[in-house]
Amino acid sequence: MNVLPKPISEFILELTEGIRSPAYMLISDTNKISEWGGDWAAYYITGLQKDSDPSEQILFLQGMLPLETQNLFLPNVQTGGEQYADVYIFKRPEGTWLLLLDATAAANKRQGWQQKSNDLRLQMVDLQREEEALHETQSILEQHVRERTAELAQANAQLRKELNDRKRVEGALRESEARFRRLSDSNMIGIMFWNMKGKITEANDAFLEMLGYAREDLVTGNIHWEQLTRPENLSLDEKAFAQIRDAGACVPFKRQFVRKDGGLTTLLFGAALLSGSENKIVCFTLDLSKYK
Amino acid sequence: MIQKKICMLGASAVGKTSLVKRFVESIYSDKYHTTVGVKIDKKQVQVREQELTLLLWDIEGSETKQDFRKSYLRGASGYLVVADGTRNDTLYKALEIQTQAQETIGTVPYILLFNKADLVDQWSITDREIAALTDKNWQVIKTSAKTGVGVEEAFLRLAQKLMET
Repeated sequence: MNVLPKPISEFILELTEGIRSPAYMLISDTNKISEWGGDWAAYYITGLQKDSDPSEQILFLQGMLPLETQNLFLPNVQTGGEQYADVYIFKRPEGTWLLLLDATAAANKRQGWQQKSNDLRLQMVDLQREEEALHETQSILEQHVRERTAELAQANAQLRKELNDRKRVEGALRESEARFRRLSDSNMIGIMFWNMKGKITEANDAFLEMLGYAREDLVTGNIHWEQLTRPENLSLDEKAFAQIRDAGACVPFKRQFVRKDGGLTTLLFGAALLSGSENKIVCFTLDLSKYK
Repeated sequence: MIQKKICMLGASAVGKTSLVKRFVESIYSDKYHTTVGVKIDKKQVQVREQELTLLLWDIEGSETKQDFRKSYLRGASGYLVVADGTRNDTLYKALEIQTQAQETIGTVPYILLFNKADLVDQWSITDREIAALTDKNWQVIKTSAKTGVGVEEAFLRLAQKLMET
């Protein structure tokens, strides 16, 4: 082992004494203070007494003694106020030595960068947490968008289906209307529309001709069911109306109609409620006299 | 008068100093101040009608095995190992630290504290993790240095365990 030249070791000692405020204590094997010296006041430790238990004044010694090992080092012990000490405890034949060296400057410096480092670590945790929250929100939003898109696609498909169905129904309706119109325009039978209040709203030429009316009479609203009916036949009509209300149509029957000129004519008469309506009725009439 | 040394162990910024301040001085500050080295406080408590002085060694947080300063633990009768309930990684550091403490001073009473229990929205320790520890006979307490919840209980329960040994 290299032995330092005396000037060097004396210089180190001067430096230590000047900068690090050493405080020392010799503790006997019976755990009593044998001697002490140095700047104890710098460490807020006062009231030391020979032959007393050192841990009564020096909190950090509690449980430390007796020392089984050769040396013990406790760095940066806050001894009071903002004062830090590096504490060395070491055993020698005369007893256990306790040495305190001022560590305040180094501790403060360390405190500065350690604070920054820990602050950064906490900020990173916060950022990570925010990022996770954002990810979570984003996935929830994406899920909502996916669900909404699926709903819209489903609604769109439903609408397209409804549109196609409607087109099909409208086509069928148009075809049906065309067939009916063809039948009506052919004037093979009389056809007229009327409502339960008795007003005749539409009729083909055959119907008007069977009863001696002109189209103008129809357009001006001058044809009414009551005009076409003999009071004696009202009970038959009631029966037919009841069938129409209950079953949607009445069984065709021979009915006497009053013509415009007051004469009577007997026609085969049938009527049915228009689908989707409660009071619009379509009727056909057939002049049986032509087939005798 | 009986005196017992208790060490506060755990990763940095888990709230060790705040727990000591709450217990000793009944105060709390939201501002975080890192601890360098060790600060020693004392508090007198009563356990089963017996006066006991607790010497509380608030030791700076250790992030790695190398940071862990074994000499601080000499003479400790027990310790509280603290994890931050909002940072899952601090639990695993606490478990490592407990292993090192046990290797250093042997088997002495200890309790694991999950601190910051007031931060319910940010809580990241699962019931499953807690159950895994209690199944291994770990004593676990949720604490909040901010509200004081569990703090007195943690120190007093450890003090009771010290008096039983």
